[in-house]
Amino acid sequence: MRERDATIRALYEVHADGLRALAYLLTGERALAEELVQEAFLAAWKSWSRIRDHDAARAYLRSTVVNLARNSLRRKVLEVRARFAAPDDAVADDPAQRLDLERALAALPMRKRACVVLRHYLGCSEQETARLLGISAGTVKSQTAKGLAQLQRHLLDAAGEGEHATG
Amino acid sequence: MRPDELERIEAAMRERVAALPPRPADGWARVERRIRRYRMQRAATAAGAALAAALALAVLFTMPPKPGPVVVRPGPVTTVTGPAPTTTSTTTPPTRKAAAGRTPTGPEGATGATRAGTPAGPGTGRQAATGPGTTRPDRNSGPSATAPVDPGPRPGNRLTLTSEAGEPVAQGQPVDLTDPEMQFGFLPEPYAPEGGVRMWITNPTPLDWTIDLAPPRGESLHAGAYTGATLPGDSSGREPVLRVARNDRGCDKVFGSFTIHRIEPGEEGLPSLLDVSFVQHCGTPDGPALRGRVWITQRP
Repeated sequence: MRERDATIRALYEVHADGLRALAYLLTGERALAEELVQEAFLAAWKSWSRIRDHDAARAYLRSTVVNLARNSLRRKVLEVRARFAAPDDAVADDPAQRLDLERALAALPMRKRACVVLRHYLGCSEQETARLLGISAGTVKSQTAKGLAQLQRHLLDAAGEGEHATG
Repeated sequence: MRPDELERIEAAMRERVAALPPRPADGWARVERRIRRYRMQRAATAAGAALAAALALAVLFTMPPKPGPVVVRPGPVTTVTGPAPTTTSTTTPPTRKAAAGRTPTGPEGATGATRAGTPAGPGTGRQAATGPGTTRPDRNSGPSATAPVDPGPRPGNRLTLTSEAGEPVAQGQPVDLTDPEMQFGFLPEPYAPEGGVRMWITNPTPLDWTIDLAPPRGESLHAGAYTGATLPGDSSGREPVLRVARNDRGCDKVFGSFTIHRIEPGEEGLPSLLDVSFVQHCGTPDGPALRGRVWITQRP
């Protein structure tokens, strides 16, 4: 038991920040991201007998965060919609850019969002992303491409609106 | 997409993450608290089960060899009376629902017939013997007086499936999933079909089961049988919708039916409890069948 606690703690020190970033990019909410990370480590603690090594633990933690983030949609979908109408008033260093990216990410369906974040923030390969999300590599490829295109359109639209507003 | 555009998106993500405040100093302490809470819950559950087993044994060994009629009265105290010396023992209090005389319909007790899609209900032998004046037969001539009383639906969740040979989703394998190994939940539209709900059963393996249900257009899901169900894209609006899929496995054409045994409303238009059995034929109306039952409760 102590060994398991110590190992999970070591994993926490190594992976907590990365998982928090992943959860934040998937959910757009800092407090929720922190919650999801804690829940993911509890899940790892419970399933420790099935996690074989450090790499497996990392993959397990990542996929748990993705699934928990997806699950949190159940209660958060309406809040996300509301945030579209009334942007998060949390202070940001560059509010315009922050809202653009978060709105654009929030507008993506979870699978596309997860593909984009895993591939282009965490740098996961197509195969690793496919394993984490339980989909085929081909689906990862198409979902990522579509997600990026949608992000780009959204960001361009936002930039156009910004110029229009200031011009 | 041009490389510079991609770089811009990646940079934006990195900048957003860099702007996150530092990890809370008590982050690990919070994880430890969750682990402690989980250990305590597990210990309490184990202690409860041990106590129930001890009580059952106590009842068994203190029963007289040929007791008279056994009367089980409602409430936490079961009094056994008869010509032989009277023995009083306590049993686990019936749940609120069992005490209210409702028939437990959770899949946890589902056996052959219910797993095969037959709704459980009155007369299926699962009714708790806790009603006023319920008389049990002599222990030597009928069911044991110590037979566990069905406590009614648990707060947990379960998915059970049977799959015929050639059926492409479960691929002929039986499935029996419960928490805490799996996470169970409901998803609204746009994940769910119009007017319906998506039941989502997942774990980080990753294993994803999704069960989409929707009534004919203009109706809302209610207890009862729905026949002639099709995939969301195939429904004209007059047919209910059923789609059972696992990860990327699904049917191109579905002929199905489902029966909602219990549904209770929850937050945001989603159920807080849904107990449903279903049959999904893939490809043709008499194609290999996937039968199952799923019970999800989001009640605290």
